[in-house]
Amino acid sequence: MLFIGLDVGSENTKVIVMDETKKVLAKASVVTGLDQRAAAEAAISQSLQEAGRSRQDVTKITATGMGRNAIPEITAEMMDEVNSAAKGARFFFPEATSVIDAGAESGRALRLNNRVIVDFAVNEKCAAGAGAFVESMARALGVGVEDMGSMSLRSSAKVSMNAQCVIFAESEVVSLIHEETPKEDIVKAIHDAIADRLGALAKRVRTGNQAVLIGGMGNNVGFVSSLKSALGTDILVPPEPEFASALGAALPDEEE
Amino acid sequence: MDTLVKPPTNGNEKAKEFFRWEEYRWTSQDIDWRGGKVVSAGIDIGSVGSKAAVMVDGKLYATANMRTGAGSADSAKKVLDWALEGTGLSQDSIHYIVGTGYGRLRIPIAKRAITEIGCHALGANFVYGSTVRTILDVGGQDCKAIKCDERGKVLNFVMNDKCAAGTGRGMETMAQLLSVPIVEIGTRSLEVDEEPEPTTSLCVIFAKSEAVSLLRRGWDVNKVLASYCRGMAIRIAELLAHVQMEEDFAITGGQSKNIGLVRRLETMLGVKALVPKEGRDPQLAGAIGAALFAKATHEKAVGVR
Amino acid sequence: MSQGASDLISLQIDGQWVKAAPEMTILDAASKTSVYIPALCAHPDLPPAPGLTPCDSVFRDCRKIDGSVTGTDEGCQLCLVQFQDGSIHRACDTPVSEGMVISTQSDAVVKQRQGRMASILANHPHECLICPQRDGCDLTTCSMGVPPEKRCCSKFTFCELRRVADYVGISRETLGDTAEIHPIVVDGPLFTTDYSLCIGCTRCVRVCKYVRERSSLAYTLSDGKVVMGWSGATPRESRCNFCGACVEVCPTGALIDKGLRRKPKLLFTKPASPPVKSLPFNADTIEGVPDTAGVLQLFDAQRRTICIKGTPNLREELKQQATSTNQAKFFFYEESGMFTQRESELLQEFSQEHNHLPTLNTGGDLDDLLG
Repeated sequence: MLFIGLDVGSENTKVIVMDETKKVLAKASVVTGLDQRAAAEAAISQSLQEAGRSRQDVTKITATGMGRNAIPEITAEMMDEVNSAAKGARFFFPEATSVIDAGAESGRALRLNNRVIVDFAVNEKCAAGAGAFVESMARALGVGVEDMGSMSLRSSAKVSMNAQCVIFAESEVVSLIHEETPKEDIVKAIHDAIADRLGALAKRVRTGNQAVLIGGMGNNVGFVSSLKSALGTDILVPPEPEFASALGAALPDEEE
Repeated sequence: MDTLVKPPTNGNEKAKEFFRWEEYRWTSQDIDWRGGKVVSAGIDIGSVGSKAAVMVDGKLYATANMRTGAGSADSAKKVLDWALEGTGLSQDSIHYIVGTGYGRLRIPIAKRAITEIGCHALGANFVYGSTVRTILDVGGQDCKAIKCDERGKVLNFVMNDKCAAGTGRGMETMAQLLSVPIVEIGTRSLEVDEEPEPTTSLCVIFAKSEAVSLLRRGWDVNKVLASYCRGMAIRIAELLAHVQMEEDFAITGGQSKNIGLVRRLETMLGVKALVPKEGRDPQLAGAIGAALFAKATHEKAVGVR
Repeated sequence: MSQGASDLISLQIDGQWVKAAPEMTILDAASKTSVYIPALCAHPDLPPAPGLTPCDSVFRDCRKIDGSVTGTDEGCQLCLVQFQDGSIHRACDTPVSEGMVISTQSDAVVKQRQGRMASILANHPHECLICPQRDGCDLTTCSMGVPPEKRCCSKFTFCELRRVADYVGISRETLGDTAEIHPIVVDGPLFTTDYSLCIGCTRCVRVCKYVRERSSLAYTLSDGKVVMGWSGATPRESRCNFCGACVEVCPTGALIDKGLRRKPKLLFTKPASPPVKSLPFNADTIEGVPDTAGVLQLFDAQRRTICIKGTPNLREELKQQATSTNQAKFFFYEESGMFTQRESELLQEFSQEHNHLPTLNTGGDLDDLLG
């Protein structure tokens, strides 16, 4: 029996294939682009191919993410992002007290008490504090997104970013570049700014002593460091955090 | 998602920069500055545009509007020089210069800096006349609602400078995304059969994704522009509600020329925006107000006030 | 002035000796010094809150709410002070006595006050109060994703609760979130009541009972919490004649005049405000100011703001101001790279409270430059 978790995000569509023993057999990530259904199909076939299995073996496909309603041809089984985030985080950290989900275009934080979601806060109104910010900034700086993390850890001076808005921050970064501020310091400032905003969101639900970060931003070591400072606590990051929500959606139902 | 930040170009890429509006300058043909008693200038360095207004005895003589460069001091010199181009008037012959604007403002060539809110109100009073009581200024990176009296003195104001929604930068982002020259957005947004629903997101970044999905649904570009302009107008109307609008109402800043935004605002507010007086550019209101303050400061100093 | 001087007693508050009449409270005595004691339920024109008799029920929006008369309101308890023997008392209802030595800022007092503030704020929507982007926010769009019912009301820039909370200090970590959200009630053509914002200070109840002598408003106790409401089923039945006294003394947005955008009519004494940080405006203190970018504020002799100005060089600008105005007696400054933005934020806050810009910003030497 195969279970597929499908996370249709604003930037990327992620798939996790697992069997009934909750073993992960394969995963795939495809750029969502303009056609969510095509992206989902591509991700599913890629991962099934990697697992060496076929579509008939699939018992259930559960969709999560902002595009979960857009693919009725693929599945009608849906899970909202808060639940998939909680389940995915707890798969790696059963005693997690809170989950911070830093996606491409939205941030959410949820509080867990004895595995039950007791509070959550979402920001879907403003792109600041989301992955899109980091990408814009990487472009403005002319560096690769994957290099942002290590660059920020090399920063030696504190630069403060005034702009809240991603769009305004672009021009602020340009003037910082003109003033010949070292790029490492700019990158750190960007991470600090996003961490502050995500941190403020997280503090609204109170993170407790086991805060878990999921979502693509978890791969950015510089950002994780900034978030630790913003929250004043340690942060747990699962391996391949961008797949955590897909994994949460894939998990067969538990009886508790 | 495209970035608006581009390294200096060699001019060949100009065709692809839809967000770029035309820079311009103007000299009055009716005034000889040599015959004037007081020559004053105002420089307004905004986050997006730098403006200069040179006045002779309180009448507009020369103006210029160009994109703000790297530093305010540099931009100030450039825009003033451009305004003076071909006039024979040199900076030294200007009796008094007042600077205003936004950001890490340093204008060494100005003798004094005055808050941009004050300059905008006084400038609007000049551009639109003494009946104006509520001014909406939609600048590059902010949006302000100002209440003033018949002399252009500020009574109250509310502003948003934290979020790109309702600012010129938001409009530029849309222009670039939809490949529509920014100066055409307004007219094209009105060329629709029926007014569509506004974009659901205020956030410009999200509105961009929304625009893309609307295009996929078969909407034509004009309809998407209409939807976005409507969303912007709603956001701006909410800001105006904070100052208890009073007529007459006028708009300054770059977006005063976005007819799509202006018409929708008028409909939502139930009020017609004033039309500027002949030959007076509302986009230059800040610089004009600064130039008027400059004139008065000089007159006071030499004792003619 | 020396009439009955022999009846005055002397006491020391934070090192300042002050003379007071024997029946005065410590809070009253402190108001004669430069010492500020924070308080939300106390009001200069009203008797103190502790001890005010509750009713067994009140009405809200024509609905009866039953409560208890057992117990009494203890007040906001922000005005705590510490005696020499270490005991802690409320300043608002403790009478002065000869030779008292009082500390208003001891560690124990500061800590207890912050705990009390946290309790008050836990029941009042506070996301805007503690938001790091609070200054300069127009309250229309929240980019933190806070739902509208949890945001601040229209009194945002001049709310007494906000001022006092800023002064006492708000600790995010200790702050709970138990605010109940009630729909806003329109009790008549003149004002609105937002029970979600009521902190139970009972100022409205006391002004109606002791000053207006109508007792239209009352309070009851529910789970030990103050629940304010009408004494009768409707305002009319409660004998309210809409004088607006309750609106004036309310420290939050719970009672608001419709279209409140101007300075309220000052029928009552304004409660003491937290002190404004200021330095004397003279050449020596100016020399000590850094020559970096920032925003300066000039105050007159009564410490009212007369100018807010952003500048690339604080020290130079202050020197220039010193030559061009003689109204300024005090000043303060903040360093800030984005000084025009900070200037606009502070100007916005000022204009929303006073309905004009500080006099020297567009008045003073600029006023006669207009038209």
